[in-house]
Parts: sequence; C-alpha cells; structure tokens
Amino acid sequence: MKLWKKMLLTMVLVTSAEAEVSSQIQFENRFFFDNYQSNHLFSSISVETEYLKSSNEDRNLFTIKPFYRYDQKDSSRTHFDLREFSLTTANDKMQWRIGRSKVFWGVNESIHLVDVINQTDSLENIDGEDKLGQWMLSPTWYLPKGSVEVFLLPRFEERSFVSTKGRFSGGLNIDDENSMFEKDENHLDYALRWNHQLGDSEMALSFFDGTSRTPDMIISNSGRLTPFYRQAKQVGLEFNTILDNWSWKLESIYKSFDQSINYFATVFGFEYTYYNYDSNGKDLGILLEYLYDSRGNSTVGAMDNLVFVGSRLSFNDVEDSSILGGVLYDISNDNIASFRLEASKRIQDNLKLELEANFFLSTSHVATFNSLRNDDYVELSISYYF
Amino acid sequence: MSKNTFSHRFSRWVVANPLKSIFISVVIFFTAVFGLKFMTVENDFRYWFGQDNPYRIAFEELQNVYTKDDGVQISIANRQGDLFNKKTLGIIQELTTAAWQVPYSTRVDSITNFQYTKATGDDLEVRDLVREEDLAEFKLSEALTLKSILLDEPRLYGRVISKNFKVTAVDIKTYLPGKSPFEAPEVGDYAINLVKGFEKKYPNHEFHLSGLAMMNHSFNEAGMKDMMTLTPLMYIVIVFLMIILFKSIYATIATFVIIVMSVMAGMGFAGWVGIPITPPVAMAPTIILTLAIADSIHIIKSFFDYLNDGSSKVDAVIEALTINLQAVFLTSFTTAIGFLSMNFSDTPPYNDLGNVAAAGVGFAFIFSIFVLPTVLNFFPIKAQKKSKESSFFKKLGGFVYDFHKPVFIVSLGVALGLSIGITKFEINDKFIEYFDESFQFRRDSEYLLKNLTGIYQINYSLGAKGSEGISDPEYLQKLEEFTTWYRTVPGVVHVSSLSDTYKRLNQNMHADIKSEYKLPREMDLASQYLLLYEMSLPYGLDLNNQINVDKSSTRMIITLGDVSTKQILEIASKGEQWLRDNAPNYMHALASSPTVMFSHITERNVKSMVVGLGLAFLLITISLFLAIRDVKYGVISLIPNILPAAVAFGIWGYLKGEADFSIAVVGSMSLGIIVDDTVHFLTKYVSFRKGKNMSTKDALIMTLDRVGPAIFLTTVILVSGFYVLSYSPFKLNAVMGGLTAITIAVALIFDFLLLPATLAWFDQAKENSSMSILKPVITTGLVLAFVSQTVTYSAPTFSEDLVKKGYEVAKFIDERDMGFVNQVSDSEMILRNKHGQTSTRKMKIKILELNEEGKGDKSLVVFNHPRAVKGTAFLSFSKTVKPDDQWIFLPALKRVKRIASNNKSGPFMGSEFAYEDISSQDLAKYSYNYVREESKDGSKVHVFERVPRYKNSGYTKQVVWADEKEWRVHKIEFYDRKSSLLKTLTFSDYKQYKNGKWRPDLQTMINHQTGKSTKLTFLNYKFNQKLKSNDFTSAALKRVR
Repeated sequence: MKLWKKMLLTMVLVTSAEAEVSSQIQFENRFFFDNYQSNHLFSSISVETEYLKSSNEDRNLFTIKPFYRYDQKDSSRTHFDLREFSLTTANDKMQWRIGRSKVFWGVNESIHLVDVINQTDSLENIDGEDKLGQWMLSPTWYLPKGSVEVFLLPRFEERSFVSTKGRFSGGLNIDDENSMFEKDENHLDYALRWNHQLGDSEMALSFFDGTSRTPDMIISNSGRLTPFYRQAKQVGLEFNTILDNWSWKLESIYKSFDQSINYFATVFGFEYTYYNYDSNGKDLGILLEYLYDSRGNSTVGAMDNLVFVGSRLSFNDVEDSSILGGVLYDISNDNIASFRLEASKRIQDNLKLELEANFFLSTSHVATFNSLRNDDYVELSISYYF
Repeated sequence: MSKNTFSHRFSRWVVANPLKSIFISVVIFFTAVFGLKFMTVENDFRYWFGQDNPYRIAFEELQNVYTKDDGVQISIANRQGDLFNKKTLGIIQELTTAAWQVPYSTRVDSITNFQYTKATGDDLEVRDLVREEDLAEFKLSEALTLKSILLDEPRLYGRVISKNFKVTAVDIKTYLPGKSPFEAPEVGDYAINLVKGFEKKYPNHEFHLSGLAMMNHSFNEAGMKDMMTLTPLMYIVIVFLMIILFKSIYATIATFVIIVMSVMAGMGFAGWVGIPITPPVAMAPTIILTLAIADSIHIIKSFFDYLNDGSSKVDAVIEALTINLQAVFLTSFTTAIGFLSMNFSDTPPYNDLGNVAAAGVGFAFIFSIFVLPTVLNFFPIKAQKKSKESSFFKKLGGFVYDFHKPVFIVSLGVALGLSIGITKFEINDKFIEYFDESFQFRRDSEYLLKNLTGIYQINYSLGAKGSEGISDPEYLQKLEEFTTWYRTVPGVVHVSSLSDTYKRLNQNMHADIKSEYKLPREMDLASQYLLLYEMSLPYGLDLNNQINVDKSSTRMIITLGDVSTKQILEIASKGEQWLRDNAPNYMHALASSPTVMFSHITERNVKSMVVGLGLAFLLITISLFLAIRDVKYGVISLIPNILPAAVAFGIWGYLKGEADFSIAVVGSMSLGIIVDDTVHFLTKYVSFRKGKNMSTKDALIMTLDRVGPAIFLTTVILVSGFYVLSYSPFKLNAVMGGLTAITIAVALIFDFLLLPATLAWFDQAKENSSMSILKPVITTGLVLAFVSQTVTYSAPTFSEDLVKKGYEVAKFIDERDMGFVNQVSDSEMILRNKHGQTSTRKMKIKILELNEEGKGDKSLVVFNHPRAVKGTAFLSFSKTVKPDDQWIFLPALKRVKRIASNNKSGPFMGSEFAYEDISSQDLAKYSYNYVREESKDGSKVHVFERVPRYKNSGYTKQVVWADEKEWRVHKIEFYDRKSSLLKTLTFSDYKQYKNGKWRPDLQTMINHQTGKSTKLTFLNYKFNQKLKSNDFTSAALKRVR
C-alpha cells in the first residue's frame, strides 16, 4: 500500500496501543580545579521525558522525547532540544522512519569518526556523544546479512557553543547566532549506509553529502569568531570483527570539501575482555586504539598520531556498576595528552550516580585540548528516574 | 551443497527473471554511461601534485610573487652556419613579433628584443639589442660586436643563445586563466602551427618547440594516444584468446559484451565524479577490460564443464553462477580494495586511476552476475565434445607433492635471490623522459638540452631586508657570491641572477668601463640605477619576473644540464645548505620549480603508498581469513601474495635498473589482482580437504586439476593486457604495465609451485571433522524422533548404550518443543541476595525458532525496568558449538555494539543465571550420558547428564530431570569447574498453550555456594506472532525503544 497510507494506518494503530511515559531528571555538578571563572563549582539540571507508543510487536513505533537543561551560571548552556519526534514502521522487508530522531554509526570507543547524521549537542559534554535530534526521512532495506539505509535530511541543525561565562569555552566568544554557510541553509542533505555481516565480522560503508556538521571558525565581517558550515562529502568505512575475547574495530573516513583541504582520518584498535575473571561476574576489558588524522593535531577536532589506552571494568552486579578509564597518548611528543574517567552505579531502582573526570595534561600539541587546558574537572551527577 | 543458500537462490532468480536482470543492468549501465557527457581532460602538469604538496605550494607561491612560468620556447638554428647573418637575425625578429600573437602570451624574450643598456654620455640608453635599423647594414663588424656583447652578457650567453652561437631561442611566457581545459591545447596548437609556418617559409632553418606549455600539451596527447591505440589492440588480443579457449563464438560475444559494458560504465563513472582524463586514467579501460574478463572466464568455464557433462543449458548456467558467485565477489572485492588503496598516493591522477578501476571492477562484477547468465541462456550454445582430459595439472600436482621439500626450498631461494635486484633500482623522474621518442616534445626538448641550454631548472626566491632591500649592497654581495658559487657546481649550466643586471648597470653608469662591471657600492646608487633601467624598459619586458612588487626579494634561476633525479635533488639541497651556512636568515630559501616537484614525487609517493599498501594488505588478508575461515591457510596464503611483487621488482631492477614513481602504485594495485588466484586455489583446496576429507596429496592434485586451467588462462589474459600497456609511449604507463605483467606472471608460478609445496609440507595433520561423528548419531535420532511423532503415545524404546540413551532422551525433549515458530513473553527477574534483599528487572523476550543446521534460535530481550536501564536490549543468534553472535543496544547513545560471547560463564545482568543458561539450549551443544530412571507422582522421570561441548563453559557437567509424559524439564543441577554442586534450577507451574507447547511460569535458580537466588517469571506468552528473521537484526535492535 502507498507509503502515506501506511504511515496513517500506523498512527491509528499506534494511538490505540498503550503509551509508555518515562522521565529522567539529572542534577549535574562539575568541580573545576582552576577557578579562572572565579568559581570552582558549576551546577545544572536536566529533564528528559520519553513518550512511547508501539504496536505490532514493535513494528510500529511513535516516540516523542523532549530534553531540557538549565544551567545555573552559563545561560548559553541552558537549552531545549526535541531529541525524538518520530514514527517508525516496519515489515519484514524494510523499514521507514520519518520525523526527528537520532542515528548512531560507529564501532570505536575513543572517537566516533563515521557518525555524521546528527549534530553534536556540544553544550552537554566535551566527549561529543550527546546529539541533537535530526529531521529525517529514512527508508531501510533489509538484505540477507545486512541492510541498506538511505537518509534524506532536511533542515540542518546548527551547533550551539558555550559562552565565556561558562567552562570549556577556551576563552572564545563564538557568535553562533550568525552562523554562515557555504551553501544556502535550506537544502536537502542525504546519506547512505550499507552494512553487512560476514561471519564474525561486520562492516559498513557509508556516504554522506551535505552540510558538514562540524563548522570551521572564521572571522566574520563583524570581527567575531563565527561558525562557517561547509558542504562536504564523506565516505566512511566501519569494520568490526570478533575473535574469541578480542573485538577488533576500525573506522575510516575520507571527507572532501569544495574549498577546503580534504582529509582522511582513521581509528583502529581492539578491546580484549577477560570475562568473569574473578568468577564473580566482573569483566575487565583492555582497550587500545590508534588515531590518525591527515590534518595533524594543529587542527581543532583532529586527533592524529595518538594512542588511546583504556580499561573498562564491568561489575555485572545488581547495581550495574561500571568504570571506564583511559588516556590519550601523543606519540609525536611522547606525552600523555588527556586522561578521562567515567564511572556509574545505581542506588536502588530509581537513582543513579555518575562520576566523570577529565584531566588535560600536556595539551599544547593537540589543538583540540589546548583550549581546554584550564578546564580539568571532576563531575558528580545524580539522576532520578520515574 | 544446500539448495537454499543465497548463491543458489540468486542464480535461480537471475535465470528465471531474464528481463528483470537485463533491466537492472541496463538501468545501471545507462546511468553510469551518461556520465561520459561530463568527461574532461586535465593537462596541467600541476594536477600531478596534490594541492597540499609542499613543493607545489612553494612553486605556486613563487609564481604568485613573480610571474607565471608556463610558456613555450621556440629555438632557431641556421642549418648553414651560425646565427649572425642578416637573414637569420631577421627571422628571429619576425618570430619575436609573431610570438606576441600566441594566445594568453604575456611576454616574449629573444636576443633581438633583449633590453641592451649602454652609456651614452651621461645618459643610460636602453634599447632592443638588434633593431630593424641594425639589420639594414649588417656586416662582419656588426656581427663581431654583437658576438662580443653576447659573450659578456651572462643573462643571455648559454641561456638564450648557445655558447657556440649556433642556436637561439625565443622565450614566450603565457598565463592561463584556468577557465577552460582547452587553454593549454590552444597554446600548444597555436605554437605548433606558428612553427610549421616558419619551417615552410624558411626551409634552411631549423625550429624546435619546448617549454611547460608544450609539456602540458603532450600530457594531453599522451592521454588520448593510449586510449586510441592500445585499447583497441587489447580487444583484438582478447577476442583472439577467447575464441581459442572456448571454441564458441557465442561465449566470446557474451564476454565481449560484459567487457564493453564494464569499461564504458567505469569511464562514465569517471565523468560523473569529475575525474579528468590524464595518462594514468587512460590506462583504466585496458585494466578494467582485463579484470572484467577474469570474472566471465570462471563462470563460463564452469558453465561449459556442466554443459559438457550433460546438464541442460539452464541448469548449467545456474550451477555455474552458484559455485562461482562467492569467489567472484571476493575476488572483485579484493581487487577493488587494491585499487582503492591507490588513493593513498600523493599524485591525484593515480588516485583517479584507482577509483575508476575500482568502479570498473564493481561494474564488471554486477554485469557478470546479471547480464552474463542471461546472455548465455539466450544464445544457442551447444555442448561440446569433451576434450581429452589434460593430465598436465594432475601430473604437476603429483610432482610438486612428491618433491615438495626441494621445490619449496628452491622456489624460496630463487625468489629471495631475484628480490635482491631491488637494490639496483635508481629512481629517475626527469619529466622529459616520461615521454618516449615518438613524442615531438621529447625530441625537441632533448635537442634543446643538447644544443642550447638545460631544461631542468630550480628557482630560489631570495628575500632582502625589507622593502627596497634588494638594492642593499650587503644583499647584492651575498647574491653575487651565491651566483658565483652556483656556477661552479657541476651539472649547472646557467645561473640567472639580478646581480648580473646590477653589475651591467653599474658599468653603464660609469661610461661602460669594463672594470666597472661590478656591484654598486651604495644602496642609493643601486636603487637609482635600477629605477632608471626599469623606467626605460618597454611594455611587457619589465623586471617583474625577477623582482617582486615591493622590491624585497629577487628570483634566481638555475638551469641544469642532463643530470639524474638524484643529482637534481643534491644540487637543490646543496644550494639550500649554502644559504644556511653563508647567508643571513632573511635570505634563506628553498628550491622550487616543476623539476623539484617531480624530483620529490617518487619519495613522496613511496611514503604514502606504503601506508596504502599496508592497509590494502590488511583488508585483503582479513577478507582472505574470512573466506577461508582458517588461520593456518590464511597464513600460508600470505606467501604467494607478498612475494611476487618483491620478485617482480627484483627482476625489473636487474633488467632495467631504473624506474619512476609509478612503481609506488604497482604494489598495491597488483596485490588485489594476485590475491584472486590464491582465493580460487585455497577455497577449492580447503573444500576438498575439509569438506571431502581428502588427503593433502589428493586435495592438491584435485585442486590443480580443477582450478589450474582457469587460473592459468586468466593469468595469460591479464599478463597480455598489461604487457600491451608496456608499449605505451608514456613511460609512466609503460613501466606500470610492464611491471604489473611481470608481477602477475610470477604470481602464477608461485601458485603452481611454491603454494602447493608449502601446503604439502605444512598441511599434513589429519583432521577429523566433528561433523562426521555426529552425522550418524543425528540421523539415528531423527529417525527415532520421526517414528515417535507418528505414534500418539507409546513408550519409547531406547538403546542400551547410556551415551546414546542420554542423547535420545535429550532429543525427545528438544523435538517436543519444536515448531512454536516464535514466541513473545514478558518476564520479571527478581534477584535476592543472602540477606533477603531483592531487586527486580523487567523485560520483554522474543524468540524466533530457526530450523537450520548449526544454528539455534534467535532471541531479542528488551529491558523495561528499572527505568535507568529502560531501552537496553540484547540480540543473540545461537550457534550450537561456536560462540553465539551477540549484540547489545545502548539507548543513551542509540548504539548497537557487537559483543564477543566468550562471556558464557559470566552472570546475566547480575543474576544467578549465566549467559550460557539464558541462551538457546540446542541439542548439539552438549554430549549426553543417561544416569537413571526415577518415579514421581506415578510417572516416569528420566535423569541424564550433559556436558557442554562449547568452549569457556563454567560447568563441568549438568544433571537434568525430565518427565517422560510430556518431555518437560523439571530440574537442572549445575556443577562448577571443581565438580562441586554450584546451582540448581527448578521449573514450576507448567502450562500448556494452544499450540500444544508447555511453558513454565516460573524458573528458580538457587546458588548453593553464595546463598543468592534469582526468580524468573514469565507472563503473557504469545506464539506465532508476525515475526520474521528481519525482526531479529541489529536494525530491529535500534528500533525497539
């Protein structure tokens, strides 16, 4: 039947199904060692609610997920985003998704190169893992051992930047109200991804053509630092294979521009896990990844010739405790550029404690960290679920 | 071979749907070919250097500061003597004037319009060296005067006029705005016509053309030439070979169609993507052609094998496509990777070639699986008489096996010995020599080199201290020293430097006294002399090509003779070193010029291609491992893949000793091609060894017999194709063609000698496939199960053997539960620690039953509670003895992560259920042993042991209690690695559902050693829902909440 009819039918079906609502409130506290902002402690609160309706054994799904954060000191960090507002319908040959949603591509831990669909919510955290929603129309065709996904992406989401009143700004006052674009803002971007499973390996090849989610910074006519979004084409490769306790991962991208230097970046590494090493359920994973970027470390956002060495400890206990820690080692300058720690644990059913820390050590050679060198922090967050 | 594999289904589909197959191919073909409309040609030599190449950047900066260097040199010689006669000088004047009409010209210099300075009284006279009026009365005295002027003028002597005064050049500088690709050909064509005109008019004089603009013109010519001549030649060779091979016109036509389609689609792709034609890209049709043939040959050969054996044509096509599909895909894939790795080259035309060739390979694959079967079916091809079985390959197999040790050692030794030839390589990137003697440009440039001046140049932009600083005596002093020094360096033919101009001006300003031919002593004087001179220069003949706008730097041009690339680099670095040692900081500079750019090209390419080669090698090796699925064979396969390139390079080193940068790409390109033979060989070999349990010797002989002819033929065709390329007049293409041909030929020898010998030596272990034990057992069980199903209820009879009995009981249980198709249930897991504290998790479980051998059920678990983990999901594909495929979905990131499932013994979500307890309990996962019979409430209960056959289990054994009435499991005891009782699992509250299946509402696991327990309750069972395999994929995982 015609697609629109299908969508309509889905909506009807879905509205007649049970709705699930769940929410999360997080109270986030960050303690910064350097008080150049005449303050050590920065706090904020966020709320996220999900409204979900599904029918037909999850073949039809309707989701709305608004998100809001209020920051006590940095008003530019206070923001609202509609993370999800989408309708998905599937049968055993293909799937359609329309609306605002999030798509993740990638296999590595230290950096996500191939992930290109959603704009980074850079107000949330510096690890780039939080994303804004993205409007999309996306059909996926199932193949015997994989699938082909096509994405039509209207409406580009600009990146918001923290102000100098907050932290992680690097002292830059970015004029994100007046972003500039290489091509007219309102056009259609598109992306394509083919993925395939071959025995114990999985691979994916992706292609993206549209406005690059990562802006270059230029000085505009007003003399302020302004984001400039170029048109880009990106070809991405993901590869992952499991061999006993080893998980080998590779991501590579080649990004080309009309008026900027094309670049190639790749990350390659493994995770070796000692399962149940103490016979009490704990898993210890060792991660090693090599990062390469043809732009070199003097470009912000590029991670070149770095080695990520990390360790993940999963307790597999009732509280789902886990710790992940790692360093980024700079080969060219023989020093450690940054150290990061993430830990989480649940207390009772509805409360979760999270600890996060990031120290920027010898950062002068890695541009991405250079602006963060005074922002070493420890974060303690508590989330309530209901 | 299962009739239901993807390959088989696909083949049947293609044969059953010829119109659809053709339609798909035609759509793809025409879409691709439409791109030919956008085809362009790139003839600027700068395109050979990436935009971020530092030498290109340095050169372009130089050109921006001074003027552009592109241009044409027209040399003139008098066949009957020297230049100093009225006629010849008149011609030079005429040519000088006519040269201003060359399109895009900005400046013309010759000896006649050289701006000669002379002191006349207190004034400085600046005029053309040879004016019209000077020729009116031109006699011996005038000739001698002219000669002496020229002798003393270093700016001309040895550069614009030869030292023997026999040859001179008119130097035309052009500036191409770059708005259309036809600008360079326009200049070249005009210059050629201009010269032709003069040659006709003045048959006693010789004219030659050279210069960067002519080089660009020749690149253009080289590109087109190859495509026009070599490609058709190749087609003829191919058709000829194919007819000999297949003895069938139709098969030849079929292959021909595929080839033409692939080549055109590949070139169309180039048009779409904006890849311009350059000499390397011009090789693409030949390369695509030879590779497209390989796919077709394998399929057609199998087709004829089946057809001649008695199959119907349709069946033969289906079978041929089925058995070759995966191999052809893999070979196309590896070849494409090899080509794509050329993107690591520093030279854009090679990136382009890699991409076009990879696209062509892709298209060849598509067309050979869609179009070829259809065309074969369509043509009236008949079976042929079976030709006498050639026993050559069988004999070869036997020979290699019997003598495997000596063959191995000798082959390895010869290979290593030949590889040493690599040390004999000398890199030669003198770009003139990229063109062979059939090119006018080459001949003319060599003429110039021999008779007038050097062709290869190096520039230095030497800065002074600030604006107007070039007139500073200190600067001039150093400039002169540098100039003088450079003139002493061997290999340097001429140095053009502003210090000469200043000296001349100083002499002029001192009444032309010879001893005043030296640098002005004061800055004011120097700048004044220069100003005076510049103001007197006519339009178009200013000093902008040597001085920058604010007079803070000058340009020095060093012309080199016929030196090697190595020497060029040395001369350049010597100069740079001299500046560092002797000149102030502001004068330090790097050499730059097209010559420098080309001299570094090999070094840069080799560096970047090593990365590319490494990556290609890695990817290809991984593909090989996956195809062969065995580490040992994968490692063995490395030998015939790595060595041929090394040996080929060694042979080339001994034969020619010289190579250009095209060698950098040969390695990765040929790797993809060489691997194909290894794939065909090893996949067949492994299937004979493992699948048919043949001995090493038999497997080797069989493999060589089956696969040998096809490998041999594809090699012959590939080698012929690349060999044809070696005749290209464009040296880069010729070297690439020749070297690749040798590499592929060597690979064939390795595949026939070294590879079998290695296998014979190292693959002697006899493997007993576990399948071979299980098969009779399973068959017995199946028969018994079938029997038991046909009878509603009758007491089953068991074997006396306890092992068999244990298995049979387990089989009953397993069979009883089969046929539920799929099930969905909600589940609640309550964890209780030894203090009695509980915590709850809620989830939804979906299970899909699979009836394929070696595969268990698929299951999807989504967590609902606690809210903090809501949305986390697990997907698991159970494989009987091999580890399950498992994925986890992390809702916060919306990321699906594949996890290794060696975590069998670890606890699932902190509960007392281990992962191995949760996963599908397939029959083949355990080995069984019957223990005893018990009685409970009047009915029989069977007790048996089972021991995990899969690796990494946390249990040494389990003991199972099951009732005979409904074959339901009631209790399982788990024994840990020390064989002590660890846990007990109890199943209670069994309910029977509409489909006759029994399910327990409650499962309780008690851990005796820790005192903890977990209760698992199941509710809302639903069976046979609308769930298919595609609801259990990682795509579906991302969708569920």
